[in-house]
Amino acid sequence: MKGDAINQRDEVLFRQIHPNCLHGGVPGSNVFRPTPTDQNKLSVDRSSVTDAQGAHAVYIAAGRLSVAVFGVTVGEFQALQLVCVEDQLDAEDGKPANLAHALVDYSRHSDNAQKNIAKRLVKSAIARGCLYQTTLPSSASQAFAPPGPSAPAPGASANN
Amino acid sequence: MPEQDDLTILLRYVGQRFDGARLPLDVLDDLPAFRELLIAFAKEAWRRANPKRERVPKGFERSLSFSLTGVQDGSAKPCLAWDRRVAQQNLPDLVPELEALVTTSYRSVIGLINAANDEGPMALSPGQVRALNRFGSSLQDGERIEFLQRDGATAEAILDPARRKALITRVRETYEARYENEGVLEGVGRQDQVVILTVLTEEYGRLSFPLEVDRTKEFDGSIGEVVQFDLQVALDSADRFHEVVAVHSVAIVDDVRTVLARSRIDELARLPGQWDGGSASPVQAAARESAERMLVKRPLYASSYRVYPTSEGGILFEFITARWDLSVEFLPTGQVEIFGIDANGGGEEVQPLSYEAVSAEFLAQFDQLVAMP
Repeated sequence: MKGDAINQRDEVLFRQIHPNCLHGGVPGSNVFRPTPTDQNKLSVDRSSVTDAQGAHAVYIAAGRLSVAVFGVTVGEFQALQLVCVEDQLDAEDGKPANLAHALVDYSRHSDNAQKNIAKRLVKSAIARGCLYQTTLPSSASQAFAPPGPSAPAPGASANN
Repeated sequence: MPEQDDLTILLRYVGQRFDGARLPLDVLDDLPAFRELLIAFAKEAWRRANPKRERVPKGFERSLSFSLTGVQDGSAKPCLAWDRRVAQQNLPDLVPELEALVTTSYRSVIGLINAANDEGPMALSPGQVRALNRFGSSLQDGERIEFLQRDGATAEAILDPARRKALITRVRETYEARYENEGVLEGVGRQDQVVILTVLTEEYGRLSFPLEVDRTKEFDGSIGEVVQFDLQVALDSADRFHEVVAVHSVAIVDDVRTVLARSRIDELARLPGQWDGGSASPVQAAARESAERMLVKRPLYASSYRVYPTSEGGILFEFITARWDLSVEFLPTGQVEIFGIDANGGGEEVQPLSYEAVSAEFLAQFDQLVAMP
């Protein structure tokens, strides 16, 4: 139920990677920390409910861009004192429902502390490898600046 | 195959650079240096045989001329033959004695090299040490010079960088080696009538060395640019830098690494507002200027930087050194932060440190972090 803690330590939580946030197949650490408008909550999707490709499909159906999916386990979040909670989303404003949606709560940590926490998380995600990758549709590539080099194949190391 | 007699010396250069019987031109310097080494030993042998004579005869060195008679197949195998005709022209009465000296000197060099790792004192004349400092100074890690027997296959002595260093540092505090690399030009100074360049290098920090006065214009106004250099340096037995002994070449170069990073910054600078489909701000001009200044000030690491936009309108550089997994964030205001985690998985961190700009203070902190072993 919404708000319930997710405690299965080995469950992978997926994070979508915008094409501009990938360089040399490696996501930036800032992808793993909330932005100022996120109210200290990071959006993720649960692997116990969907898979990486499914999570990606729902994400882009909501009108967002993603060329890769990386993942961090609940245990890896918890090791950094981050709480993961269920946050299922109903269909709204033309966007599909997302029953796999969850949030990771960073509010225990200052903005400064969140920066190195994000670096540890992206390191774990890179070690796990890209879990799903795709390319931009040609219409989208006209609207946005060209992405960096393409992400490695799923399961392969995404290290430089 | 060139004709071999008892006074033909066959060397073999082993290493990838020498495959296919290739001898790079900078290594050709070794051959006159090897002659110098033989001459140095020949002089000592002459003095021992002629204790009443203070000096060697006129024409002695000229009589010990060698010719490169060929380079054999496989790893580069230069053949060096003593030029008896030159000795005949200069010291005709001493040809038999010179012939014996060449053989004795060569055997002494072989003995010296084979004794490189022996313990105990070693006595070498200043001339012998000078010659040894030149011979083999261009050898890189993994390369070696083999002194072959007449069969052309069996090595009776091997000189590699480690053995060469051991030999020289047994008799001197420092040994010389060739140092070719790139650095960042930090200064073009004047000391008396001499122009001095200061270059920041990765291995040895700041190096200063003289430049021909007529080349000053080439470097004026180029502070912060990448310089490619080829130096002869003196290092101690722990490979710590002591001094620049000679400058073989130095030049400003276009740095491809910064071109690629600069191109990436240009791409990100063209992103519109809401580029992430959400509330992301476009990259601010002040952040771009800071990031570009970073490339100018520290171009050596540019090929390592991964470059990202931030949703706040800044730019993020991330890269990994031996010690730290670092981030340098250029905020929308132009301020800069550096932070990081242990690159080897440990718990140590560099907590975010803020600076008003890519200032001398920031660069000092940056240098300290990237230099940490």
